Amino acid sequence: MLKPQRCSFRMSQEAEPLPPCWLRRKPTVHDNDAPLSSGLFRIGPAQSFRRALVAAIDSAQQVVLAASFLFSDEEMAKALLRSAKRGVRVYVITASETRLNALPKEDDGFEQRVVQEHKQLLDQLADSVLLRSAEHFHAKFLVVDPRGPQPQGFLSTANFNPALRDSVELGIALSADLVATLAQWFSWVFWKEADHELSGKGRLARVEPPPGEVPEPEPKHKGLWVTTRSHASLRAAVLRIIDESRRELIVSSYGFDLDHAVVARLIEKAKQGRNVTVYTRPRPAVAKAIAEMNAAGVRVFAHDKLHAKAVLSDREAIILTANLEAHGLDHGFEVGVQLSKAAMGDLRATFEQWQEQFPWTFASTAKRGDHLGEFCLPDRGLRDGIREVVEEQAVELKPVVADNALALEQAARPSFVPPPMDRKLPRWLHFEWEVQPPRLPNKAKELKRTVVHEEKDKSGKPRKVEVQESYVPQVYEHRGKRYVVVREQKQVKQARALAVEMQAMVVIP
Amino acid sequence: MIQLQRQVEVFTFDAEATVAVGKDRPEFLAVARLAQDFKRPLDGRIVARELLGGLPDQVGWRVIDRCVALGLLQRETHRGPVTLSGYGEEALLTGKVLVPEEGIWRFYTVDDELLEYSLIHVERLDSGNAREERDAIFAAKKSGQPRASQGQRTPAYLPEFANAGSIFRSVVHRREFAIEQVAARGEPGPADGLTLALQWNQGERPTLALRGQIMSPPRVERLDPQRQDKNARPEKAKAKPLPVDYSVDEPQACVGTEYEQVWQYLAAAGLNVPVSEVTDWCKKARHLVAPISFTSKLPTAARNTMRVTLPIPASEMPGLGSFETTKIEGVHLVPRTADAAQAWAEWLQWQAINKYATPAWIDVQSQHVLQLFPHHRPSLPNAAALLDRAIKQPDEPTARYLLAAYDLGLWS
Repeated sequence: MLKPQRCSFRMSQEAEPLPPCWLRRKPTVHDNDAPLSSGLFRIGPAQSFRRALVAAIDSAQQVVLAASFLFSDEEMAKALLRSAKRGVRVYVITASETRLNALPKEDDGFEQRVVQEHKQLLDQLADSVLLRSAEHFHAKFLVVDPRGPQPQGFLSTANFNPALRDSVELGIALSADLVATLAQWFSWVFWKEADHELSGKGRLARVEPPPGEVPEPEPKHKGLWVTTRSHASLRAAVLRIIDESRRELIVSSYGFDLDHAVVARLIEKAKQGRNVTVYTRPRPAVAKAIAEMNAAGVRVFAHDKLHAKAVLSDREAIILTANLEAHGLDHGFEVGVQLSKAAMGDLRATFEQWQEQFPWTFASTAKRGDHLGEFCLPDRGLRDGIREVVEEQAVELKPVVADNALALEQAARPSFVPPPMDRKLPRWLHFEWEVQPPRLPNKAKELKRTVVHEEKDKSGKPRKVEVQESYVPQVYEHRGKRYVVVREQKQVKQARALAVEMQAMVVIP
Repeated sequence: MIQLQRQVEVFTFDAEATVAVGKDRPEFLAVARLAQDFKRPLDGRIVARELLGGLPDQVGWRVIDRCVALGLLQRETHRGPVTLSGYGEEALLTGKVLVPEEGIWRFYTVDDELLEYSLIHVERLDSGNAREERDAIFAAKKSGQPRASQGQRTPAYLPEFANAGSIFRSVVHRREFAIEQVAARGEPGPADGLTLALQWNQGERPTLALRGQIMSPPRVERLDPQRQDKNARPEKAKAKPLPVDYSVDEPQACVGTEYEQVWQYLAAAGLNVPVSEVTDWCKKARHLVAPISFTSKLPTAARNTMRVTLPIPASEMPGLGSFETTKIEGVHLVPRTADAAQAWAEWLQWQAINKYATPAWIDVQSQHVLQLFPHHRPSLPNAAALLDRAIKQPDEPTARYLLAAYDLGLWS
C-alpha cells in the first residue's frame, strides 16, 4: 500500500484521419515482362524489350535512327557501334546538356550520376554516329532501315538507359507504316529543331539551317501523333481519347500537371461518372494533381519506378513518350502511337495486373483504422515522405502523487494528450503512469502532544508533570497542514485512525 | 615578288693616299650658298664684304681659291670671278664638303656584275708617329727579324678612280668620298663578306641592296686623358663591325630584263619543268601561272587554293649571276595535263562538300569548281555518283554530309 502503483489507459486513434497520402499495399517488386504476342513490351527481369532493341540494331543494314532523352545503355551503345562499324549510318537525337543540367534533383531516375553516364556514352559514340541535341527532345524510339526491305521500329516510354532494366515502362513494336512515318518525324526534328551537333568528344557545334526544304510529314497521320515546336497533334489525340471514352479511362504517366487541360478533363470525366484509374510514381511533382483527381473520384495507384505513359479507354489506346503535362503535350518533341486491338488487350491486362501489384494507392480521406503499415506524404515523396501506421504506441506519462498514502487508488487520473508524432502514427495509444504515495514536506515540524505524568518530588510526594511526546506514528505540521508519517506497514491501522483524529494526511517519510 | 640574294666577297687594301671625304664645313658652304644666291659671278671683294665683315678683298680672293680647290666653285679664267660648280650645288644639298685628308687608308672593294662601282667604303687607319715607326724598325733589325715587307703593288683600279675624279658613296654611312691620290704600293687587308639582295615587285623595277657588316681597321679606344689611369696598360687595338644596309639603284645588268622573264625562269626551276612550258602556260592564261602535276605531294592547301609558295633551288640567272635558294609566294597553279585537271576538279568537288548537301547544292558547287579550270574541260560526277561513293566509303569525312541528307529526307 505504501509502494507506488502502476496504472494504464488505452486510447483509440483509429478514427484519426490520415493526411491525403500514398498507402502502401504491397512490397515494391519489378514488373513482369513475360513475352506478349501483340508487340507490347513491359520491363522486367527477362529484359525482353532491351534485347529486342539490341537485336533490331544488330540487324540493321542501312540506317538506325535512335531518339532518347537520356542515353546510357551500354548494350545499345555497343550495338550502335557494331552497326556503324559495318557501314550502317547511325543517327541519334537526344536532350541537350543545358536541359540535363537543369533537371530537378528530386527525381530518382534523373540523378546526376545518370546524366554523367549519358554524357560519357555520347563521347563513346561521338566518332561513329551523327548526334544532334535540343533542349526539348524527349521522345524515345528506335527506327531501323525505314526504307529497307525489313523496316523495324519501337516506341519506348523508357529512356535508353538503366530504365530499360529497372523501371516500370511500356514499349511497342511498330508497323512498317508507322516506322516510315516516325522516320519522317525524326528527319523533321533533326533538320528543323535540333540546336547542336556533336562534332567530337565533348564538342557541340551549333546547327546550321538545313541545306534544302525539309518535307513535312503528314501531321494527321492515322495512328501516330507528335508534339514538336510546330505541331501539337499528340495533345489533341490524348484529349480526344479521353473525350470519346464511354465508361472507362486508364491512364499511366510519370508526370501530371494540375493546370493542364488533360488533367482537368480527367477530373471532369471522373465527376461525370467515368471509371477513371491512374498509375503514376509517388513524386512531389504530381502531388497536387493526384490529390485533385482522387478527390474527384479517380482511383490512383503508384509504383516506385513507374515511368510508363499510356492512355486506355474502352474504345482506343495510345502509348506515348510524353508525360501528361505541358512539357510534353504542349512543348517538346514527343511521339504517341495508337495500339492495335491485340496490343490494346495486352495493355488492359497489364493495367489489371498493375492494379493488383502496385505497392501504393492514393487515399484522400483514410483513417488510421483503415491502414496498417507504410504510407507516403505526397508532397515529400519516397525519399523523405515515408511514414508508418502502427498498431499501438506506448506513452509513458509523468508520475502522479496521490493525496493520501493509504488511498493511492483514489489518486486523480492524468490527462491523456496524444504526443506529437513524426514517423509513426499508432492506431492505439497506450498511456502508462505511476501513482506515488505523498511524501512529508522537507520543512515540516513534528507535532507533539502534551502528556501529564505523576512523579515524586524531592520530598517523595507525588506530583503531576506535563511532558511533550511524539504521536505514534509521528505527526508533522507544515503550512497549516498536518501529516501522519507511516514508516512501516504495521503502522497503517494506527496511522489511519490518527489521521482521522488529527484531520491529517497520511504520508511516507 | 621575287627576292634573290647571294654572298659577295669584300676585299680590302691598305695604302697611303689622299682621300676627300664628306665633312661638315659650314664656312665653305656659306661661300657656295653666296655663289648660288648671288646673281652674278663672285669676286674677292664681294666675299670679303658679304662674309668676312669688310676684311681686305685679298682675303676674299684667298677664300675663293680654297673653295675652288675643294671643287665648290669654278672659274672661267685664271684668278677671275667664280660661279657655283655642279659639285657645289650637290654639296649644298647634302650639307657635306669633300675635304682631302692624307694618311693610310683602307679601301673596301667588291667585284660583282650587278654593282656599278666596286669601291664601297674607305676607312682611315690609325698610324703611329714617325719616331715610333723608326724605333719599331730599329728594334726589329736588332732582334734579327726580317725586314718589313715593301708591300704589294696597288690594284690598278684605285689610281684609275683617282685619275677619273670619281665620287663614291660609302655603303656604311652614305657619305661621299673621292680618291685624289694613292701610293703605288700598299698592303692587302683582311677579306670580308656582304649579302647582295635583289628585290623585284611585279610592275616595278628591281632594287638592289647590300646588307651585312664589314670590319673596321683596328683602332685604339681613345679615353678621356683627364680620367686616364697612369698605371693602366695601353689598350689593344680592336676592329669594330660596321653595319651595312645600303640600297642601290636598278643595276645596269637588269635593264632590258622583264620581271615576267625572271619569274618564269625561276618557276621553271622550282617546278623542274622547261621554261618554255611555263612561258606557254603564262601566254595561255595571260598572267603568271605555274603548270603542275596533281600528285599526292601537292599540299592540301595548295590543292584547295590553287596557289602555292614555290621553293626555288639555287640557280644561275643569265646576265644576273647565281643566287641562293629562294621562294616565290602566291604562285598561281594550273594543272599541266587534262588528266591532272580531271583529278584535281574531282578532288575539289569532294572537298567542297563540307556541310550537309542536297543534289541542287552539289550542282551549283560543281559549277563553281569547273570555273576554276578555264583551260581544261574536266567532267564532274553528278550527285547520284557522289552518293554512291559516300555509301561505299561511309568513313570518309565528306560522306556524312551526303548520307545524312539522303537518309533523312533531303535527297529528292
